[in-house]
Amino acid sequence: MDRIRDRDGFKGTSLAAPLACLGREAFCVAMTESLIRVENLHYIYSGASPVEALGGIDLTIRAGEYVAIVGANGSGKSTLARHLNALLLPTRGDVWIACANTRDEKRRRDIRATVQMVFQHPDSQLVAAVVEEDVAFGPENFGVPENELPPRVRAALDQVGMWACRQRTPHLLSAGQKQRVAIAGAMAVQPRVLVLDEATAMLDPAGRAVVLDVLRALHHQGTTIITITHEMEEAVEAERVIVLSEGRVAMDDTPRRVFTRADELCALDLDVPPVAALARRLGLPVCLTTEELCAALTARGPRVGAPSRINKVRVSEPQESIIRVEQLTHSYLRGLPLETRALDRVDFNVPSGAAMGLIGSTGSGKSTLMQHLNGLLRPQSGRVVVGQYDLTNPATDVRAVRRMVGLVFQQPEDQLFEQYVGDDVAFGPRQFGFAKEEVRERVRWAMESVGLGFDAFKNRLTNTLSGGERRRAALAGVFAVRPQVLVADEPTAGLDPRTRAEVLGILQRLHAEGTTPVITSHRMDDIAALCCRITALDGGRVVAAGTRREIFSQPDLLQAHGLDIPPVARIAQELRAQGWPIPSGVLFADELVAALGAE
Amino acid sequence: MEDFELLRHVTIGQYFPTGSPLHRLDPRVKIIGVVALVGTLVTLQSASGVLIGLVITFALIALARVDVQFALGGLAPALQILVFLAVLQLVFGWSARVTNCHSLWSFWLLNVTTCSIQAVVVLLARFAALFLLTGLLTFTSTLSELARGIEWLLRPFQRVGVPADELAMVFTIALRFVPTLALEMEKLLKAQAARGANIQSGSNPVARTRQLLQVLVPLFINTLRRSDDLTAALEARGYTGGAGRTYYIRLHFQRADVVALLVVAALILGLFALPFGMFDQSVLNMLATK
Amino acid sequence: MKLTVRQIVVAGLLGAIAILLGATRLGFIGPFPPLLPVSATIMHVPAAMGETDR
Repeated sequence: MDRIRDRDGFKGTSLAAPLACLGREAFCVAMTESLIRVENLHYIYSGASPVEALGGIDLTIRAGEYVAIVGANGSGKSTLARHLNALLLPTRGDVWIACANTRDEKRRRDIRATVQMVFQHPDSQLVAAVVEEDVAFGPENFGVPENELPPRVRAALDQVGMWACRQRTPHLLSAGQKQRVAIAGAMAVQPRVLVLDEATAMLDPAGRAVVLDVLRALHHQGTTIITITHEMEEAVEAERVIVLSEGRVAMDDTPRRVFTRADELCALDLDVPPVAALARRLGLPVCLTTEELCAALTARGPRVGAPSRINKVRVSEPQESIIRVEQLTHSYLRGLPLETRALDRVDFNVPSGAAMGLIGSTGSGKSTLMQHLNGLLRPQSGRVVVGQYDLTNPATDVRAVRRMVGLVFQQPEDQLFEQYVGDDVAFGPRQFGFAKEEVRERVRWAMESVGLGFDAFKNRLTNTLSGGERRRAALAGVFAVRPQVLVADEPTAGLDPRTRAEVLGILQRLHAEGTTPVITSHRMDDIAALCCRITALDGGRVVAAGTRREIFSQPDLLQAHGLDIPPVARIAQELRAQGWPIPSGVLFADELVAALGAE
Repeated sequence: MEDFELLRHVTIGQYFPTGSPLHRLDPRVKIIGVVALVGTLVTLQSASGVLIGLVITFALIALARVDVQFALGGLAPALQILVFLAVLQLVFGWSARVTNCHSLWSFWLLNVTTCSIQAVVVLLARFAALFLLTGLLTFTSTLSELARGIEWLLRPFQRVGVPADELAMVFTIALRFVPTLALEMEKLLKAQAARGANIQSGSNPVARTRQLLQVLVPLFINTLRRSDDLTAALEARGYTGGAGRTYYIRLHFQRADVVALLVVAALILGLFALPFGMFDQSVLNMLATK
Repeated sequence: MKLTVRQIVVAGLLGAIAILLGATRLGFIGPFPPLLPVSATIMHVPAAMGETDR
């Protein structure tokens, strides 16, 4: 690492000093290629119990690099990101952006003009009520001359493909669109560096793919991209992957070399991309794309083996439906100028005991359908029958329906309102009028089933829990009522890989114990693991319904409706196209490995 | 039946780009116009005057090509209270002027006088007009335009320490987040209903307060967390207050604006100058003598 | 009267909640006294929480 600075080198007259400063910096910029330099960065979050988030980071990032920063929760990724645009200042050590020290208040504006950031939550970074005005917000703050503002806004919105939506209001946009607007807002400042702090965490696969395309294009144009992510498939896009662990750099190398060290990553609570995981299981050298996998397989040996049959577990024909939805139609804001039709003559059956998956791109009507299943929404036309209750009848006891059908919304941890965990979990049972001892028993059962020990957690303050614990506490709150059907909207959204696996396990256990789960998710691998029957929606209509193998054997149909198939199935499909004898309907890594005759 | 669609009731803060002549006016003119009309309606004492004001307001809304029914819909929550107040005023006769009041109907303590009728009409018409006028501002101008307008109008006061741009920013953030928070509140209500809570309106005050707090607590917590994120986002995007900022929304004064100001001035003059007071008196006298 | 960015944001968001409570039925506590659209106790909560500002 070059050490061009020579702090003590320039002494002299009062005139020489400022000139020397200028010269020194220009010299620095000219001599080093490092746009961002982090030296011995330490950061401690002050408070009742101080936490050392960063324990000595040394890093150099050159102009034009595409860097991915990964790490488990608490490894310091976000903290590091916020040092790059002077949102946080080091407790010890230095951060230099284009040779300006972040501690220097006079240079702060320049630093922020050089490094722009896009955050995780779409709603909390859009400031204006109209898209184009929000994109202009950044340049306005930096005093860009007024006649230059419209061309910049136009260029930025074009880069993300949102110019057509320039007059829309933020709250009517999808999460993916909001994030694209946020990126446009950052690019309108014309920064040299774009930092994305888990900017795709809240997006569905389609939204994420569009954002990745945008990043690729920006990188091509010379912007330095630094992306912080949980998704290893995104890290593969980068030229360089930095792995953080407990506030220090654990690995800093190309994606290929990093993902070769799968055991170390596992020890750090991290994944490898699905293709790489598969390659590893097959004993192949590390592969980052399916093409490489094919090539490596071919290199290894001829296409051998008779196509084996998948052991299809005979799904017994459903005896009875616990929920029946017939020709359901629903419109929001009926009679008002902004009316939208969310469901159009939907038929939906949930067989008792079968785990049901509901898939669809954003706006397909999944959430609306779910809210009909426990009477939050009443059928405007059509029928909804839950157990013996007909929800079309206004006199139906809606609360009885809600005892039978529990509903968990997205981000359920945002709904915790009691001070103590135990009280919050007890809310449901209490509302339904159970006796005190009964309530206590249910709360105990619910908390144990989500892995929050009853005695350990019942008196914890809700706001002292970690993100994963909060999610589980919210789940417990719905489980405590012991509903027969559990409807969960994106139960694993926004979670890191480890917590995601835990929640999946919880849902599987619940299913085994007799509850009927109805799950929506954007993650097809979760749906494949959990649900044996799937219904797909698009634009408020049912476009496909059947067993999971049936549905996921139709990738073209799904793609036409903005959906995808699980990663393993995708890999299997591509291998099949290359001539490998893989039976259709392969969904899981085990099956694929067996079909390739590797073991 | 429960109604969770809060967005239906939030008519303030929604912008409708219908492209009407009102939309094209300079926001400063619109703000001044609305403020002047509001001031007029508040000081006018005569019922017929305020009614004319209400008619003018309806005309303006029609001119803006906004659906009048939708605009009035926002009044619905307040309706109960209004009607209650109106009945009180009508029957107990609390009115400003006590002169020339003929009693029309009397029973024990209840007393309906001509003055109280006048007062009730003024109350209802004024409230409706005020509500619609402020709505008109947001229907026809984007928040940034309004923020710009407010900021420009407050600028002369900066010398006395009023932070014009900062206040405009507060205003922008508030109105921008009303629909977002409405959706969030809706989600909270639904989640609690799903867990067995009874969200019917009209139950006793104690229960309603508790219900409200159950929703408000998470809303506040999430709002404070959101404020952390929003503050970081604002700072990251370079916002440090009003100094040194340029503006995307440009304000130009055009002929239409001058015309609009003149029209408003004429209306106000008319409202004050015309003898509405006498007109009222004669109508009420007619009622009294019948 | 210099406002920090954080104060601006908090004021704006709390203002939004106040407007929301007033515009929807929820801000009205009971039919009597029907004076303010938002009852005094409710408005104290945002003020109090806003002040426990870091």
